[in-house]
Formats: sequence, C-alpha cells, structure tokens
Amino acid sequence: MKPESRVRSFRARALQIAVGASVTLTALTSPRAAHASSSYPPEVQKALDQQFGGSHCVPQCITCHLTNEGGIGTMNVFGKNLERYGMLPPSSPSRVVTAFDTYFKSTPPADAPQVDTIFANGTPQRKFFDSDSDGVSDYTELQQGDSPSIALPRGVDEVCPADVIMYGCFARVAAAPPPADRFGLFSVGLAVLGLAALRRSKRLRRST
Amino acid sequence: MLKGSGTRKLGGRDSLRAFQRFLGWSLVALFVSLFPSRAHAYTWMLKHGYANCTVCHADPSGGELLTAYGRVQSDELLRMRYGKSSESAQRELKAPRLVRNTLELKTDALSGEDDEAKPDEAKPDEATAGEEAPTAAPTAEAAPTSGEEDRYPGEFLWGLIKTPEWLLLGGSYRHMMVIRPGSEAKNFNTFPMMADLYGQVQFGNFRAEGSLGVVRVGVGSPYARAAQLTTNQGDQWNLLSRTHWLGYDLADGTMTLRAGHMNLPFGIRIPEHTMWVRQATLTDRESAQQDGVAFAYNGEKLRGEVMGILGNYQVNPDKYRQRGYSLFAEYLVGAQTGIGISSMVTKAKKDRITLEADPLRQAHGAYVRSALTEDLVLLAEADALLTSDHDTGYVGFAQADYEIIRGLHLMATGEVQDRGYDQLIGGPKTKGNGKPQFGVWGTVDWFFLPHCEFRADAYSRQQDDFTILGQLHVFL
Repeated sequence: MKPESRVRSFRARALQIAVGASVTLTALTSPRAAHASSSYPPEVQKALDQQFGGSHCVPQCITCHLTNEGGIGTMNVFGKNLERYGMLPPSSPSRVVTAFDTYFKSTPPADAPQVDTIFANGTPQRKFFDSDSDGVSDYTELQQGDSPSIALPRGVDEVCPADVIMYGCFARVAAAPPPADRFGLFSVGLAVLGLAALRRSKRLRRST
Repeated sequence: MLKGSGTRKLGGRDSLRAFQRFLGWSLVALFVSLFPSRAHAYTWMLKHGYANCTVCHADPSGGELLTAYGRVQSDELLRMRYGKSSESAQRELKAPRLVRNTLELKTDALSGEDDEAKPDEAKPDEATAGEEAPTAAPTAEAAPTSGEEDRYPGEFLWGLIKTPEWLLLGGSYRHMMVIRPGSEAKNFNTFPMMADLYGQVQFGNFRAEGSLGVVRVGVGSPYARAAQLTTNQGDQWNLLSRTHWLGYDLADGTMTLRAGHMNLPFGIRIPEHTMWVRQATLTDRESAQQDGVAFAYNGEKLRGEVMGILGNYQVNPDKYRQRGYSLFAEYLVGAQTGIGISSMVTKAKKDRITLEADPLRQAHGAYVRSALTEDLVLLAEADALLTSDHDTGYVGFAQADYEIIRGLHLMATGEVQDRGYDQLIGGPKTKGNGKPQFGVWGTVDWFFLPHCEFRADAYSRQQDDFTILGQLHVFL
C-alpha cells in the first residue's frame, strides 16, 4: 500500500470511529422520550384521579386541544378556560393537577357560558363553566368521561373512549373482565365463609 | 418526451376549482416571471441536474433509502469539502467507475459544454452514457478493483460493510435538541428523534423494501405512534416500521407498481415533518404512511405517483383507518424547474385527529420546485383543505435554500395555515381555526462529514413559543 493510501485509509477509519462514538454517546446519554412535551396527558389523568377518585385512563390530547395533535397555541375552549382560570402557564405540565383544582374552585365571569353544577366534595350547588355550551358543566362532563369542549352528544366518552385508538400491529383494547368472574369470586367467597361457619358450628356442637 | 398523463380529482365545488386554478396559475406566473434565463434544478439535489428521484432513492418518489449511486452523490454533492474544489475532490474520489462517468456526464450537461470538447478519457463509453444512472446497476461496477484497497466513505457504514449488488442498506439517526427560551417551564429538551435502518433486496424486476426502527415517545404523543409495530401505548420503547413494501419495476424501471406501507404521494417530500403543510395534509414522512397499492411513473419530463389508500394497519381499531387515494404529478418546465399538482381524498369512520365521526378529508394543491441560480433553490406549495364540518381551509409554505459554500446551506421559510373553522366545536375563530396563522423559520444546515449533518432551526409561529431546534443527523 502506498503511504498516501495509508493516510487516507487511516483518515477513513478515524472518521468511522469518531462518528460511531458520537452517535453511541448521544444515544446512550439521552434516553428520554422523544417529543417530551407530550407529558401532559398523564398529568391530566392524575388530576382526574384526584378530583373524582378511582382510576381514570390517560386522556386524549383533544380533551384540551383542538385536535389530537396537541401543540402550543392549539387549545380548545376548555383548554383556554383551564389555562386562564386555572392559572396554568404554558409549557408547565407539572402544574396541571393544581390547575384543575384551582379551576374547579373558580367562579365563572358573568359573560362565560355556565350552568348549575353539583360538586362531589359537598360544595353547595353553584354555577360553573360550560365551555362547549351544551348545558352540562365542564365538571360534570369530566366526571362522566365526556369531553368538556365538544358539545354533546358528539362529546360523549371522548375523554376516555371505549374504542380508544391503539397503535402497533394487532393492538387491541383489552376486553373488560366479564361480570360472571366477579359473581364467581363472590360466590366462592360466600361458599368459603359458609363452610367455615358450618365447621365452627360443628366444633361448638362437639365441645358442648 | 412525454409519456403518460397525470389525472386530478377535484373537490366538486366551483369555488374550490376556482381557488385551485387561481393558486396554480398564480404560482406558475410568479415563478415564470421570476426566472432568469438559465434556471437550475428543483430542490438542491435536483439543481445538480437530476430530473427524478429514482436515480438516488429506492423509493420511486424519493426519500430515505439511497441507491448505490445516490450514496455516492450524497457524499459528492452534499458535504463540505473544506477548501478542496469539487473537481479535485472528484479526482480523489474512489467511487465506482460507472458512477464517476455518469457524474462527469451530468456535470458536463450542467456546465453546458459539448461532449466533444471533453478529453476522450473523461468520456464514458456509449453503453454507459446511454444509461440514466440505473438504481442498482452501478453496484455491478461499484466494487473497487483488487488494487483499490481504500474504502469510500460514501458507502454503507462509511465502507465498513460491503453490500452485494442485490442488497441496499441504509439507516438514519436523528438526535434532537429543543430550546424554548421564552418558556416559563423547562426550556431545554434533548432526545433521539429517529433511529431507523432501511433495506431493500432486488431480484430482477422484483423489489422488497422495509425499514425498522426504535422510538420512545410520551403518552399521547401524536408522533411515531402510527408507525409502531409493537403495542406499548405508554412511554416505553417501541419497534416501528415506517415503510415496508413489495414492488415490481416495469419498462426498465420507468414505472413501478408497489403494494405495502408507503409514504403518501402528495406535495413536496420535505424532511421537516412538523411543517404545517405536511401536518395539515397528514402527509409527513414521520409516521403518516399508509398501506395501499401505488403506481409510480418517472419519465424524462413527467413524473408522478398515484396510490390507493387502504388504511394504516398499524392503527387500531379499523374505524380510525383512512381510505381513499393520494396522488401527485410533476412536470419539468425548462431545464430544472418542476411544477406539480397533488390531490388526496380519504374517508374513515372516525378521525383519529379530530375524533369526528365519518370525516371526509380532502387536500388539493400545487407546488413548484426551482433553482433560481446555481446556489439558490426555491420550494413553494399551496393546498386547499376541505374537511367535513369545517369551513374550507388552506395551508402553504415557501422556502428559499441558499448554499453559501458546498455543504453549508442557509434557509428561510415562511408558512401559513387556516385549517378551516371547526363548525362542530364552534367557539370563536382563532388563528389556524378560521383565521390565518403565520410562521417563519430560519435554518442553517451543515453537512460537515460524509453522511453527517448538523442542522439548526429557529422558528417563530403565531400562538407558539419561539423555538430553537438543533439536530444531529447521521445517515448510514
């Protein structure tokens, strides 16, 4: 091999190593989720769990945005109200839970669509925001899993739809456990308790 | 010579037709009036004299996997030479003989010199000259002769792995940094945006292509999900495939019939998947691919593709799958200017973006790609958006790309959109939803090493934070 070729070959190998190392380094040192701004939905889920109890699904972006694409500046009417009256600054997913709490405690201004609302925490019935003007308040719609920004009936179950979009090959929504299972567990429990009671009564009879 | 013809299906409304005609002719008039006497090329690869995408890409409509010839060209024509002239770089190049010959032929054509004026040794033989840089053929002579021990940095993995003639391999890694200086919360993010491998096998006229990658996105993210193979719905890692198709070439590769999961043939195939013109029409290359059957034609002056969309079978349940058609046709005007039209109509039982029931989505538009000078390329696209229960909307962009020196590009982009007022959701009209919304981008794109790119974008969009993007892109 000529010296010139050796130099070129060395340069090529050095280049390969440098590029490979930099790619590996950046890949390993940054194992974050891509498009990290999409951390809002789990925070909304936490807020719903806290407000209404139970375990909610991870809501879709369209709960607060015009479309499921999300993005800054694309808030729907409910999202805008949440930002404004829930004191939620932009790009602050960590403050979503507090914002929901603040929003539900707020009083709508006179010019905002509003309806009488019964709150679950014992607060007396009062007027609250009805962002989509469908006659049902944002609080009640979120409590029922309906969209607070899409008027009923189109907004029914849109926060946590039964036919939620699933991604991946052959992805399916897991079927709910059949009621018979619960009934069966209850029956087995009753039978066990009955047997225990029977044995106890027999022991009592023997001892007497 | 013209072969075949493009067809267009319009929305059916007179006002829409008038709007389309107006847009189309306005764009044509604008660019014809702006043209200097010698126009150069389409996008910046086309300014080097390439009339269609099949020369450099496995996909007949461009994008992703490079052919053996395209691999050489991506190194030869894209990257910075650090003071070496292109000619000296060519002399140094250990590229396939056929490719070098074809390249010289192309360069001659661009320079306007007659073949007779060139020295005999620089001329390819007749058989070679007659070929339009076939997609796979160069690899037949691509293997260096036994005396050529140096590896060419443009080869797969910078020459670490030699691929046989029937196999094309490639890959792409994009690492993204996002800075939002005005954000009240966390204003810096960095994450691997793309890590894909591509491959194609070709036996005779039969081709099979596919991509495989990994990605991890947040819950509810609109990105990457629609390309998932694995079924994790949370923020776990997922395996994904953006494209996988079987194809059959006809008429010496001028026509290709494909079936599988493919990029939608619509508009200008730009890499910026967040550009409104790609997002609003759902035609980006990030994860908007669909399953279907497509027929592509790549002639001398006319190229185009029409695809029957059968839905994305990586999205479930079936009610969210869009079905319809998508097409584009592009005609070369003069030497290096292309004018194209695009059209798409899809229907689903439920829209996964808006959750609207029985939505009908239509997008129809026109575009222009042209090199105003050897260094300045202009792209522009305008599309009308017709979505059920929405007012008629529109989206468009124009981008000027100036290559200061070889390998360093400056870009300025303006974009506008009004996706059409959503009549069902109602409420006041806002920018982008009944009112026009504007955005501007400034970009520096630096191809600093073979198959390595660093790109910095700064954009300002109405109703959005000022954002700076930094991106390291390594394409294998």
